[in-house]
Amino acid sequence: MICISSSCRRSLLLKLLIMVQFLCCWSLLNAGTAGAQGDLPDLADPAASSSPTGGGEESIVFQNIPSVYGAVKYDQKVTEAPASITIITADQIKKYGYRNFTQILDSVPGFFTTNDRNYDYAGIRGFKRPGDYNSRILLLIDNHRLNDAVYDQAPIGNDGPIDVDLIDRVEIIRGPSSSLYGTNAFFGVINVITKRGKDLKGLEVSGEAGTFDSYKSRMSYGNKLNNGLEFLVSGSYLDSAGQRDLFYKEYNAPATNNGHAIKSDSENFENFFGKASYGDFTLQGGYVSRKKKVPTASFGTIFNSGSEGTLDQRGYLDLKYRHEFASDLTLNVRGYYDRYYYRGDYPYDYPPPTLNQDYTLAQQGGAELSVVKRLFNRHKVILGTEYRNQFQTDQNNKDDVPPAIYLDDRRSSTVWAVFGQEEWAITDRLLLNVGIRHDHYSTFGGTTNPRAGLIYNWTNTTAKLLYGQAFRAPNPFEQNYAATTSLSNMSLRPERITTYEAVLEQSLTANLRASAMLYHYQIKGLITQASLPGPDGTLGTADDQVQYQNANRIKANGLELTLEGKWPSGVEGRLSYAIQKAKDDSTGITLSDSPQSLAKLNLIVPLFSDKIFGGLESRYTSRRDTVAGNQAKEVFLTNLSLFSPKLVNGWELSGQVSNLFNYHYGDPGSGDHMQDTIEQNGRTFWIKLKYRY
Amino acid sequence: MNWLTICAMAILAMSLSHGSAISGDLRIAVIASQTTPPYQDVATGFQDFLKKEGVAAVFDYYGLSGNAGKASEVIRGIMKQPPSLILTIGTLATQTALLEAGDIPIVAGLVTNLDDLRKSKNATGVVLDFPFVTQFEWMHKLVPEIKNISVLYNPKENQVKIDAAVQAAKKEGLTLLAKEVETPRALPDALESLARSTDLLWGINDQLVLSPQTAEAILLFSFRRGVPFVGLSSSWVKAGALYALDRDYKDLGAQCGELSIKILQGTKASTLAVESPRRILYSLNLKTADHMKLEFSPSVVKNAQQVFP
Repeated sequence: MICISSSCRRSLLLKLLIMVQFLCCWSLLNAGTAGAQGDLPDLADPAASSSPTGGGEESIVFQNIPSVYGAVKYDQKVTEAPASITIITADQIKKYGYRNFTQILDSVPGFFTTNDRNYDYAGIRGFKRPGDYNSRILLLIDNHRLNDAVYDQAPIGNDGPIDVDLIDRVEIIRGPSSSLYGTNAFFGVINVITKRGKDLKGLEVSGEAGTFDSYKSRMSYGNKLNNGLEFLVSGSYLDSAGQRDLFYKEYNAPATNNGHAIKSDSENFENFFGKASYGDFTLQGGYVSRKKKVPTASFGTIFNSGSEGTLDQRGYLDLKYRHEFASDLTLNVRGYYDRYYYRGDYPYDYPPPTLNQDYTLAQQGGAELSVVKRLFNRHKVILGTEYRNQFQTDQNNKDDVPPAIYLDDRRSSTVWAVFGQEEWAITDRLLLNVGIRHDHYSTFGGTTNPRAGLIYNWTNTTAKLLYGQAFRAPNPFEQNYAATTSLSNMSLRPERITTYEAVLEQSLTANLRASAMLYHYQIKGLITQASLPGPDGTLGTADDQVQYQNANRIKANGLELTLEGKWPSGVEGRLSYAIQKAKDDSTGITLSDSPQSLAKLNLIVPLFSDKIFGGLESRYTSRRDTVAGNQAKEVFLTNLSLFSPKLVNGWELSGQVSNLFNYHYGDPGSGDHMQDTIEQNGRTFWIKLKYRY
Repeated sequence: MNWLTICAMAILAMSLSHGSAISGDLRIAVIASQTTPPYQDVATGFQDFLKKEGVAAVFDYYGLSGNAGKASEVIRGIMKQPPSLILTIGTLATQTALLEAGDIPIVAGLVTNLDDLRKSKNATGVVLDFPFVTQFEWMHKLVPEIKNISVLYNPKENQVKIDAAVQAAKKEGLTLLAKEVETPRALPDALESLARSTDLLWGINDQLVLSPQTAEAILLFSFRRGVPFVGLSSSWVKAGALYALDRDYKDLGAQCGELSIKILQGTKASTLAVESPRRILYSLNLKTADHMKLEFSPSVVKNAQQVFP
C-alpha cells in the first residue's frame, strides 16, 4: 500500500533530503581525494616507498611525509586503546561554532542530546533515561571527575565550569571504562583536555551576541614564563533573556495564561578557570555559578509563575604531581576537592501559594595514586589506587511560607578502589589489553569490573574485539531523597552493564578513513524510578509515591558507521550513521527517548583561502517514544557557521545560525513534566568577535 | 741531487698533479642509492665541479633504486675494470662499496653514519647532518624564546651522537632533554611525557624514532600539542614541521668533488676529515608557526629557501 498521508510525505521528503546530503558529502569527499593526489611532491622513489629502509638511513630525510594538515589517522594511543574513540579538536570547535559540551557531543557519531529548558542531557547507544542527569557518562576535565557527589550529574551544558574556548581537545571514549575510572564510566568517558598557558601566549578578550538578547564575554590570559611557570586564568559571563513567550498546549487554559509562559526562560552564568604548572606539579581549579529560570512548570509547579528556577554552583581544585623516573616508570599522584551546591525554587499553590525549595550541598575530597611501568618492551602495566571521601552530601527540602521542612538529610560516605591494567604487545601487530578495578563503597559494599580488548593493527586497518563490565553506584539522591512523594531506598545496589563490541577502522586513503562498530550490551539492575501506592493503597492516584529501585533489565544492539576525511586544502568532514535498538528485556518494549537511527554530516570548507571557513552540520534523529507512550517526531537539523581566524590582525570573527531551516520539533520530557515533548528552539544565531593582544 | 734539483722536481710534480694536470685514463664510478632528485643533484654538482676544475674523467653512473641485492652485484661489476675513484651517494651505496671495492678510494655523500667512513682506510666524504652547534645556533636564531628542547632517540643507534649533542646544547644555553625510545611501541608514551616540559622537539636521523611509520604520529603530536618540531628536510616542513635546515645538494656534490681532487692528487682518503655540508638552507612552515603562536622576523622569512604558507 502506498503511503500518501501528509506526515508520510514529509517523512519521505526528509529521508530524501538526507540521502541527497549524504551523496553530496560522498562526492565532496571523493573530490577531495582526487585533489589530494596533486599535492604529493615527486620526491619519493617507488622502490624506497615500498621498502622504507631500502634507500639507506638517509631515506627518511628525502621521503615524502604525509601532511599533518590532512591527517585523518588517530594517534597510536587511540588506535591501540581498548575502546572506540572520537577526538574533537579546538580547531573543529571553532570552525563548527560549538558553544558548550552539548553541541560537541551532538556532533559525535552515536550520541544524541536533549534539553528540557533547564539542563542538557546526553544519550548514547540508544540509551537515555528521562530524568537522568547524565549519570551514566563520566565527564572529566584534565582527568578530574566532574560528576557531582549527589546526583552524579555530568554538567554538559552551561552548568559546566569551563568555557569551550579553553578546550584543546575532547576525547570521547565509548564503552564501559569502570575498570579504570570506577562509577559513571558506564557508557563512556568524556575527557576534556584544556589549553595551556603557552597556547594563549597573551591576553584574549571575546564578546558575543545572539538571539534572545544573549550576550557573553570572556577574558583569558595565559603564558609561560622564562622560569618554567606556565599558567592560564580565564573568566566568562553570559546573560540571556531566553525565549520571551513559550507556548505549551498542556497548559492552554485561562487559569494558566492560555499556555503561554512569559519571560520564564532566562539564563545567566559566570565561570572562572585557572591552571598553573611548574616542574612536575600542576594546580587547577574551576568554578561556575549558573542560574536558569524554568518555563515548563516541572514537578507540578505553578505555570507561568516566573519564579521556578535552579541555581547550580560547582567548584573544584586539583593538584597533580607527575614524575617520570629514568627506569621508564611514571608516578602520578593527585589530590582534589570538589564542591557542588544546588538550589531549586519550585512555586506551588497547595493552597496557599508558597515557594518550595530544594537544597543540596556536596563536598568531597580525594586522592589518587598510580604508577605506569613499561616492562620488557612488550608490557605496559598501570597500577593504582583511589580514595574519595564524600564528607558532605546534604539534601534539604522545605517550604518557605508557611515554613515546613520535608527533608533534612545529612550524610557522608567513602569510596576506595584499587585498579590495574596490563597492555601486552603479543606481536608487533597484536595487542591484548586487560584491566580490572575493585571499588568499595561504605554504603553498599564492593563491586569488581573487568575489561579486555584484543586489538590487531595492520598497516591501514585496525580491528578491535572488546569486552567490558561497568557499574554505576546508586547516588545519595536515589538512596536518600525522601520528601512528600518520594521514598528513600538504602538497599539499592549498583546497576551493571556488560558490553561486547567489534570495531573495524580502515584508512581508505591517506585522507579518508572509515570505521564500523557493532555492539551488544545488557544492563542488569537498572536504577529507575518506580511508582508505588500512597497512603490510599491504590496505584495511579494523586498520592502515589516514587522510589528508585533496581528494576529493569535492558538489552540493546547497535551498529555505527563512520566515514571521515581531512585534506591539506582545509576541507574536512565526517559522515556517520547509527542504527540501534534498546529495549526493556522483561517487557520487550523499546526504551523511551531512544532513537533507532541517527545520521550526521559534518563538513568544514575553506571559503576564502585560510581566511574564512564555512561549517555545515546536519543531523537526523529518528522518532522517539515518549514517556506517555506517544512518539516525538523525527528531527532534522542543520547548522551553518562561519569562522574567520584572521579578519584583521589579531581579530577573529565567528558566527553560527542554528536550526537553519527553522524546523519545529520537541524532545521527550520526563515524568517530571506535564509536557509529553518539550519544544526546542527554532532558528537562532550568534556572532562572536575575539581579540588577541 | 742538490736542493735545487729536488725543488725543481717537486714543482714539476705539483704542476702535473694540479687541476688540469690530473689526466690520463681517469674513470670515476658514481653509485647512487636512489635516483631521486637529491641524489641526482649531488651527482650533477660533483661532475660539474670536476669539469670546472679541468679534471678530464669518464663518469660511469649506477643507480641502485634502493635495491640492496643489486648493490653488491653492481659493485662487483665495476671492480672488473677498477675505476680511479668511486663516489657513493647515500648509505646503501657507501656501505656496499666499503665492503666490495677493495682499495679503490671512496668519497661518500649523503651519508648519516660517520663511523662507516672513519673505520675505513680509503674513504672520506660529506655527511648529511650539520654539526650540533650549528643546529642549535639556528634554533636560537629561528625560535629565540626556547630554552628546553627534547629529542627522542634509540640509544643503540644514537647514544654517542646524543651525548655530544647534550654538551653542544649546553654551550648554546639550551637544555636538551634526551628521551630514550627502544621500540616504536614506546613512542606514544615518550611523546606524551615530553608534552609538558619541552619548548621544542628536535628531530634527528634515527631509524627507530623517525621512520615513515612514525613520522605522522610525531607530526600529529607536534601539531596537536603545540610543540614545534624541527624536521629533517623541507618535505618534513611541508608536512607540518616548523622548520628544517636543508642542504644545497649540488654544492654538496661540489664538496665531494673537492675531496676527490685531493685524493686524485695523491692525498690518502683516510687523512681527509669527513665534512658537513657547508651551505645551509632552511625552509619554514608559516601555518605551523601561526598555529603555535610563533612569529618569524621578515628577514628570516625572506631568506628561507622555501616557505610553506
